[in-house]
Amino acid sequence: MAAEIGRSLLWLALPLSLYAAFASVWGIRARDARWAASAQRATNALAVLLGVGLLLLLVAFLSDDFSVRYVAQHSSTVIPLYLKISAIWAGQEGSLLLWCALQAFFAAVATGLPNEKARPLVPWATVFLNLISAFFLTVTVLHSNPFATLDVVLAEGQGLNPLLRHPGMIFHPPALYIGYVGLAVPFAFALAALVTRRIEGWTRALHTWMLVAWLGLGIGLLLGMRWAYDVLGWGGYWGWDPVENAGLLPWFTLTALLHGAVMQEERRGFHLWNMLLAIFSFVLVLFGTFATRSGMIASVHAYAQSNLGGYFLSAIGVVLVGSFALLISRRKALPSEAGPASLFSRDGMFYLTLILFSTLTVSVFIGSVLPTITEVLTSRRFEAGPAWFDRVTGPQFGLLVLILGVCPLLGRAAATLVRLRRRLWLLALGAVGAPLAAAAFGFREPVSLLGLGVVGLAGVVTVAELVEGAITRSRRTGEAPINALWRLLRLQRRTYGGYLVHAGVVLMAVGILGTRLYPFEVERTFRMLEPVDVGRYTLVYEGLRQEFVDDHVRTYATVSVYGERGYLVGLEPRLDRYTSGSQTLTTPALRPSVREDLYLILSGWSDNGEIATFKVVINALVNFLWVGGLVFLAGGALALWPHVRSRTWNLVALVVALSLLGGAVWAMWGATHGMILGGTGRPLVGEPAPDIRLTLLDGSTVSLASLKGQVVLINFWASWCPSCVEEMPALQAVWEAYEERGVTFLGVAHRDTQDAVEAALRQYGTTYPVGLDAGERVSTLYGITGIPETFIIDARGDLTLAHIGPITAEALSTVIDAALDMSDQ
Amino acid sequence: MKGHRTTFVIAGLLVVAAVVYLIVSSTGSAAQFFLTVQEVHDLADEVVGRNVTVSGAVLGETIVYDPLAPHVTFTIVHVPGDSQAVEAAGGLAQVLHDATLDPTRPRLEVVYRGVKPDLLTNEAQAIVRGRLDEEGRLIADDLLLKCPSRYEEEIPGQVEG
Amino acid sequence: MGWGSLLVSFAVLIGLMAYVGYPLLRTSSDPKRVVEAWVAQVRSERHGSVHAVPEVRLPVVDTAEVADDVINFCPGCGRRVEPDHVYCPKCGRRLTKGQAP
Repeated sequence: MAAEIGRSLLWLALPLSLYAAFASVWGIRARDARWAASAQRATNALAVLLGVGLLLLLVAFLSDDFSVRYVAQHSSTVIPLYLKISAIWAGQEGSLLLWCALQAFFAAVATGLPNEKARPLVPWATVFLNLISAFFLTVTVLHSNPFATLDVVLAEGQGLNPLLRHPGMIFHPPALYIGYVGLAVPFAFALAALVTRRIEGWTRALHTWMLVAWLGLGIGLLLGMRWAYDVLGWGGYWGWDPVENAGLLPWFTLTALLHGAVMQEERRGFHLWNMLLAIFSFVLVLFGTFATRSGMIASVHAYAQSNLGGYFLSAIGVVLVGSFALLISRRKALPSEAGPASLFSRDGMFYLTLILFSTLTVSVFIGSVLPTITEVLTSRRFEAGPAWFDRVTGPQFGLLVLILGVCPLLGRAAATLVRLRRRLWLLALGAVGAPLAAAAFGFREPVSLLGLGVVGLAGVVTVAELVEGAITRSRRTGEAPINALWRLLRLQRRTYGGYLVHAGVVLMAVGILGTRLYPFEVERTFRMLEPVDVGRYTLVYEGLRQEFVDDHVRTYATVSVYGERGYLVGLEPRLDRYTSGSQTLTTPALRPSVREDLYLILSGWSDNGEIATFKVVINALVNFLWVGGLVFLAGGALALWPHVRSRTWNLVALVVALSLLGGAVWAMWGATHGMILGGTGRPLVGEPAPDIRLTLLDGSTVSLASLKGQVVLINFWASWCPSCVEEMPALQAVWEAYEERGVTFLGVAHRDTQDAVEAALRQYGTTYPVGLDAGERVSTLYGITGIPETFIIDARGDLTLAHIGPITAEALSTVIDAALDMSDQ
Repeated sequence: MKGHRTTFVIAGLLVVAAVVYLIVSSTGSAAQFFLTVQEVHDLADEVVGRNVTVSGAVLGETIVYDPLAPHVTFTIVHVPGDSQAVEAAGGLAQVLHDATLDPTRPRLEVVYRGVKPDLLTNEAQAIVRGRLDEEGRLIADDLLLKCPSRYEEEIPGQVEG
Repeated sequence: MGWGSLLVSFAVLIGLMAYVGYPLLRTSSDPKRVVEAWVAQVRSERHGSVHAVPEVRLPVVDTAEVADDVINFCPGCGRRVEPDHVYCPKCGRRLTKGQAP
């Protein structure tokens, strides 16, 4: 019944949205407020209707209603609750419903609660927003109905695609949708401004909405990047895939719009530019959804071929033609552009910024549709791979970062060489200091050093802006600089939010330079317990274990990581194989550090587990990217923070924001990502063996250091361990043979009692020294993971054998002979 | 001031020109040919050594895997690249199926250094990025595979847009 | 579709129509409006110009293209004003020709 009601609601929503649009037009034409009020009510009712529809879909998921086709395709009884919820947007129909609901909700809020400056634009904006809702509803209801039912009700659903079973999946699509859908609001209001010829104030009026959409897109993009990094297991975070680009394109134009808005509000023109940016932002949103859903663009991400492509393409056409017609008919209302006074001024830099964002948008767009373009032009299909994108966009990004750094140095007036001269030392510090520091740490690639110079410059300038602002204020008001800074953050949120965003960009640039210009990726086959040198690490494959969970098998591989100073951490990458279908999911393990991430992927293994293949990726400086991303988002949130007087409200909001930030930090660096902490690793063969002090049963102590010059055997065992006692006769025999030849045996009883040990020794006639491992110190030092384990150290103190499990007399003799030969030489 | 205005326009045009140059030159060299197996055969020498992306249907019986290297070779069969032709022939699953059964269609050997992907099975659609060597084999850098059956639903994919 | 769903859908439809249509049913019982209408009617009779008796309407939302040079409605409160008014009789806002507020 829930599904049936849901379907009716959708069918009611479509005519309702059309009514709202037409009622608003009627109200405008007839200057009749009653129709305007009716239109507003219809807009609100639409939001409620679709909200309830979404809720009904949720109910269908939670109640495992597999008569609904969409639920059957994306859910099952065994998946956890949070995934059942996020399955709503796992597929086409549900995500479209979410889009419609968000669209209606935003329309209702934007038109029902406009800020004062936007009020005159509301009636026309209502028209446009409801037309947009009507379009998406048409597509949903006619071609992509989430409430479609199956004739045969299945007992069990097909389950959620394993790649989507991750907490990141909860937030990534909704955040992106807030961005995409949110862009409809500035677009509709921009068109309304054109119609009513109120061009001057529209950006100020829509400032908050633009920031909301920007932040939504930003969070969605960064979440997507981190999710790909954590879960998808290919070691990277951005593939320049057309669907990824689809989220980036409107973000570019929106960022450009935000900068152009600053100019427009400072009465410096850019009106036409801002209009165009608002229009194209929305067109790119439509293009993005077209790219994902039409199947026309080959992509790892796209939904399979669907027939929605034509709809979105037509919508793009209508929007473009209509908007441009409107623009042309209102061209006289747009103030003529005075143009910036000089290139090397703030205005000039903003102008260049807008140009660069535009060229970036065009570049990425061309790259995404290159196969189609080249096929039409040259009848050969070219595809733009990551190399193409890096080459085309890299310099543009670099130039943008340079402008970011230079702009604050220029005043609002023209030529500011005076200001530059005073700050010269600052520029030098950043531009030269950063590359020098990097080179000192081993980063020597020339392009990266150039990039780091630009980044250093921009970083230093941005920090200087923050600091100078605080110092100036503190001088004026007598506050301490820290307080001054805090006050500025609270008072000039947009400006300081902007500085934080820029700082975030600078940090992200460092991360991008590191990962893109110092790539390191190898795929190697490891034999169990044999150390392999990779990069600056030594890796030892320890073994496999398997777990059976619900509908998949998890295989974990344990790898010990050693650095220059010894054992660092254990890593546990895993591979899940799903029993239905042959889908596999690799979850990498990673060890983050400031300098780089060590990223390990389990690729495959032999049947007996003796051999395993790993892909090792070392991502240089990647954590700068993630930290930068957080700073970036924090800046955006700050800019968005509303001025509310209530202290309680501010406190609560601050707590929420900080918790989210804390949550993000924890998710990235607090959670283990496959690290095994608390392990100690084992000594490596060929390296000096760790020194130990052992208290023997007779009370005397012996240390390894004191035995230098002798070949030493250390055997870890316990009286309660069957394999240990099995090998004791062999050990005794070998001991007797080598006792006089400069060989010492030490037995270490692990988790045992004095009496039991003495009993065992008597039973097997063991005569070599044995001690109890008090506090498990020796066992920990040698990193034993079980007993028995035997270690042999040669006369120089280096480890020459590390053996797990019972050992035979022959094997022992061989190794001891070899060690003795060596020490004789 | 007209003089300044001109500076602006010139600066803007310079940037645009630089970007256009970047795009065109990258397309010339760094972009990859997107080809079908038939086109690879037709173009033969022209594409040796160049980055190419080739799509085709996997022949299950030709898959040879050495897990120790790791290293896998297999052969792909020509599949039409035009989506309309694919639809006309009965959909992608049908086209892949027919391709593997048709002995007359052109084939291409692929060499991939890496672990054998689970999706590498008979009739799977392979999109291979790599370079052709002189012997006409495709040395793959990247291997993208899609499920042979249940094509309508899930390609393991993200949910954006 | 089951009877329950049919009933619920129907109820929703009725509710929607009621909620959305309600503003259209409003006729003004606002005494201010009645007085204004009466005043305007008297004025028009006194001036002898042929003004159609203004229908009683609710305050107009200032929405459409900004009037060219003759304002008929106050941009602030929407009250109908005469072409020769300088200040709006209702809200006191200054009226100027052809301006965008």
